Amino acid sequence: MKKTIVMMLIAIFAVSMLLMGVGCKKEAAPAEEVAEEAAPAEEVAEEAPAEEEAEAEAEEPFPSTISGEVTFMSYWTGGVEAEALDMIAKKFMEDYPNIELTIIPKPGDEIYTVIQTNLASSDPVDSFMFWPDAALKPFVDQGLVAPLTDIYEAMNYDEIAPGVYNWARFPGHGDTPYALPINKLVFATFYNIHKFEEAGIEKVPETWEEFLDVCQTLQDAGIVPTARSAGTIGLPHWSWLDRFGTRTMDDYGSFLQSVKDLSIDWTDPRFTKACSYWDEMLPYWHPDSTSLTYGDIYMMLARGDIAMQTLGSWIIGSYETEMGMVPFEDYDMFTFPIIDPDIPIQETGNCNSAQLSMAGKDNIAAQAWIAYWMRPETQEMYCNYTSNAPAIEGIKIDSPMISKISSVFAGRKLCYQFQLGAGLHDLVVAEVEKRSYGLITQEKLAENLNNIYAEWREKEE
Amino acid sequence: MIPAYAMIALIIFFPIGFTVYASLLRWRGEGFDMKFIGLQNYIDMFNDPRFLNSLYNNIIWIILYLILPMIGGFVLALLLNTNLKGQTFFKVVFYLPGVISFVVVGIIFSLIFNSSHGMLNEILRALHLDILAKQWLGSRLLALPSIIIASSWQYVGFCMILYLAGLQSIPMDVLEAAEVDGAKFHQKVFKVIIPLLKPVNVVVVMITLINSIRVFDLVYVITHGGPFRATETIGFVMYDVSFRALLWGEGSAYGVFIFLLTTIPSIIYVRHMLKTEVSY
Repeated sequence: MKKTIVMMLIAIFAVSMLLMGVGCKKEAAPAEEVAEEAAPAEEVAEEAPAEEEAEAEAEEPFPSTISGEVTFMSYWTGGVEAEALDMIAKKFMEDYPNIELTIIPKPGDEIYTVIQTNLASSDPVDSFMFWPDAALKPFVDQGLVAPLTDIYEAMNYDEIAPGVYNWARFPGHGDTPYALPINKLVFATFYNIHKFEEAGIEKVPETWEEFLDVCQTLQDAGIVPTARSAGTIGLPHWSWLDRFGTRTMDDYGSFLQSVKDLSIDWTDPRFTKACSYWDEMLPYWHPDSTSLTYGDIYMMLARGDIAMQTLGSWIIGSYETEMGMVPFEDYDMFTFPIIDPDIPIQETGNCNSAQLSMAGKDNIAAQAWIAYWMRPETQEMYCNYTSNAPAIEGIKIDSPMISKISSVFAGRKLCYQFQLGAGLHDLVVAEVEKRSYGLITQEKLAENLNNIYAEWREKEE
Repeated sequence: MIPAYAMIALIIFFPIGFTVYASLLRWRGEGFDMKFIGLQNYIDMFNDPRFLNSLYNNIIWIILYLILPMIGGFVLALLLNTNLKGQTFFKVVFYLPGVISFVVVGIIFSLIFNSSHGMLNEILRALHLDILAKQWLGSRLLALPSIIIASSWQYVGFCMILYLAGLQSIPMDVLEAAEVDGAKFHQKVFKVIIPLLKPVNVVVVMITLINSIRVFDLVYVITHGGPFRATETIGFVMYDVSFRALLWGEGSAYGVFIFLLTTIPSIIYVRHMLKTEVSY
């Protein structure tokens, strides 16, 4: 019996070793073989159009004759986003018949660790989806992400997507772009129209005082005005901090930059002032806010358990496509109210972006894949399926809500949201969270954050 | 035997050894830039209020876990150790939660404990006991006991099975002799049955202790350590530090601490308890 068990263990071990050895990437077909395969197709085409097509192909930065294999890691694992990704991948492989694209889905929760270990391994993915700005910076600093200067120039990206220009550039790396934003997400206050009508609210608030009046009116009508959550499971309260910051600071972007480059002193009166608005909101949160997840909150708005919530524009796809809500009948949006009329209007947003690993840097097929997202037809397909705002200008959007948001936010200064790198973000947010619920004073918050930053700077050295 | 030892070395000793080594490094998890810093990770850990908070939560977990599922399992085993009709059915029913995935258990109890629509508060309101309808998962005081109750519900069947096996191994003549001597039921339980169940108790206590110290799954699913870190356990903090903050040196220190915390008391307890045998 003992011998049998030992032999089984040895067999399992041997099979494991074998499977580890099998996990190697196939080499892409050499260029000469690709040319031989392409030759019969060229012979079939008519002569004159073939010449014109060849000229057009030569000008096209990523011609359809490109061949190779591409791996792409994505955290769109479900819902309309995953469906859209699947559609675009299929279309891509139709347009590039010689490219084999493999999508590797990974849940968003795990993506930091998975990407970190994958990029540092001996067989990283060619390309991956992530969030630019502070989240991506550690990977850029480690030299794990390839510069995209050639793609930007080939696709004229800085001209066609000026709004997200800075999000792909990083301090310490000059003007080199490392990320390709594939959409643009902004934060708006979405509200349940039926609940507003039930409370007799006819006009959306434009000023902070009007906003508090609306909250009180809702509460008096027995309707919970809004909700938040606690911890890393839920709607991050930094999105509310962003709202307060954009409405009380002259240049919220520069404040955020000092937060991201660890130069801030958290006793900064700008931060103190922005945080003071938490206290006025305390009576209006859902009573169970601290146990709610992000998914709970946007569902609660749809069900009418809360009347309004500040959410990213990505929610439109879920509301309309998944839940069948009708814009302007079931729900609508307004921009966060003005707190200080002397402060210029600013907003925050974020985006999803595509990047190349250093393995994908010289993989022309991988470059073609991420550049594919910048084609107007791809942007149109993706944005209209998911009701997301496009990264590039001039895209025709069917969603009336996205069109409204685009027109409302047009011309407003947009900076990337409050977002720090892995680890530091959670530490800071945990302290801000306590302050936002009135559990610690502003002085204690500043002290705790300064201590966290001091320790973090020491570790960075 | 060499292949077997090689296997054990590869899958047990090497990971433990590497984790101990990693705990002595400043290793940010960004690439392989490691710096030997000795015991600094441990010093930082013991000075970290977050670690102390999680240790406190684990102590609460141990205390409640030694009471709720252990005593609950023992009582169920006593009840089922009779010629009750439908005994097998009840054994299955009570043991069933133990085979349900912890994710499912977490989701079930998240719904039960939901303060707005959860079953618990709906029942309390229906009984006009609104004052008892609390924020079970949103309150810093109640969130941890709520998760422990969920975990106890899942674990009590396992304790029941172990105690039942122990009860069925007690010779009937010992119990009959106690009856003949005039022992009442509670006297039989405390003076005869419990002492004779010492070997089973050793196993149950050790497994309960280990599970209480390394708990992570339900915390992750139900509250993710919230609200305001009120339900964070050492296992959860280890995960958070290692896989969200990517501080693998610090995370390894947590791992070594958990390992020592589960291993050393287990060895001491088992050696002590097994020295003192009970027989009649």
